[in-house]
Amino acid sequence: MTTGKDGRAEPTDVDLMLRVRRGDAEAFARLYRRYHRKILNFFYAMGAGSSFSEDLCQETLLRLWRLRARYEPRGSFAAYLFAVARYVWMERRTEVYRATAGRPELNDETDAAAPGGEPDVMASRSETAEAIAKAVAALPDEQRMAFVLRTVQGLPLEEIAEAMDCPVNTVRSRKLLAIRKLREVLKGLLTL
Amino acid sequence: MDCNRIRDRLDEYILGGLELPGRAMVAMHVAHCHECAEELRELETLLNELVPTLRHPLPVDRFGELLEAIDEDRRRARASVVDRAWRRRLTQRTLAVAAAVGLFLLAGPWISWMVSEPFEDRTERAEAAVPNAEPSMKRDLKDIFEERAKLEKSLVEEPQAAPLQLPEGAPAVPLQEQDTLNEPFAAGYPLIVLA
Repeated sequence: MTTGKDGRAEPTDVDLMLRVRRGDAEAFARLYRRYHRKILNFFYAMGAGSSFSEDLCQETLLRLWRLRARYEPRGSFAAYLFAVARYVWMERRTEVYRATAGRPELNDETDAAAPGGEPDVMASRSETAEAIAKAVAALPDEQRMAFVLRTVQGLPLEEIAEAMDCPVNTVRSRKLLAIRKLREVLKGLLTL
Repeated sequence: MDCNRIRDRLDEYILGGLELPGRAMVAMHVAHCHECAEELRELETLLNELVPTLRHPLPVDRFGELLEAIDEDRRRARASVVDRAWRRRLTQRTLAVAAAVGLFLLAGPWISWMVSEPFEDRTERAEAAVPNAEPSMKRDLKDIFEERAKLEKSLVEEPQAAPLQLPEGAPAVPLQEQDTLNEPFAAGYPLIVLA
């Protein structure tokens, strides 16, 4: 149990998952609310595009439900969930690449939702977003995953290592390589 | 400290992934090293630009759909359990029928062979199957078979009984009356019972 914002005792992720294992749909709903956005961001950052990442997110959570009986409370729940997400990504990435022709699917809603009225500012933002998405999509899969999980999701290196089923130092080096490549590619664009 | 080792930790420094000694070490280093301080600034800019761009712009709550998918999943699982049970029962019945047919096919010839085989052959086989039987027992069996064989032979070789000849001068009695005379139950028994 942890203490929530309003001072009430909040069950931990592992507590909730143990309840889910017994078939508790309410606990599953709470886990959904905690992790839905994170998983969505993970797939989006991996280059699945807006609609595809929603589908993959649903599939990940559905798989979490289906695999609930096999859950063992070892290690972090986030690592477990992202390991499931990683498997979903590995299974479906070919489909995603085929659908987006190997390029990240840029979301029109990005521009619509972005604040700022000047058309040239908006166009510049769109260009930047496109360049960033392309640069990230050009990274090798494992490097991109390590980078996304560390910088976008903010997962500790140990949990990423658990989710990616590799040593911590491997995660560290993959992430560093990804950052170096992104710096190289985006140097001119972001006025670094 | 070596600049390369510090640069490898800059991203973790920005993301807050370093413990207090590590943070202090990086902070002290960048305070004196202009190159590393510049690197830190660049990296900060990069991450500040990158991370918001890589977040889903309009996350939609689709928990309702997920619940529907879970319900569908449950229905399918239940249906597959029923289907499995039905298939298992069908398999069991098929196996039972197959076993019965197999048994019949195997047992039929065996039974017919048992019926057709001469008794002596069977007994000889039985004797052979019990090689350690007492000699006296074997002798007894042999006597029994010999007696039986003689009896059968005598029955086969016994001449047909000659047809009955009525003595001369005997009254000719119709066949039906003869039967009545020889068979008291045929006519008289019901009367005796009634009396």
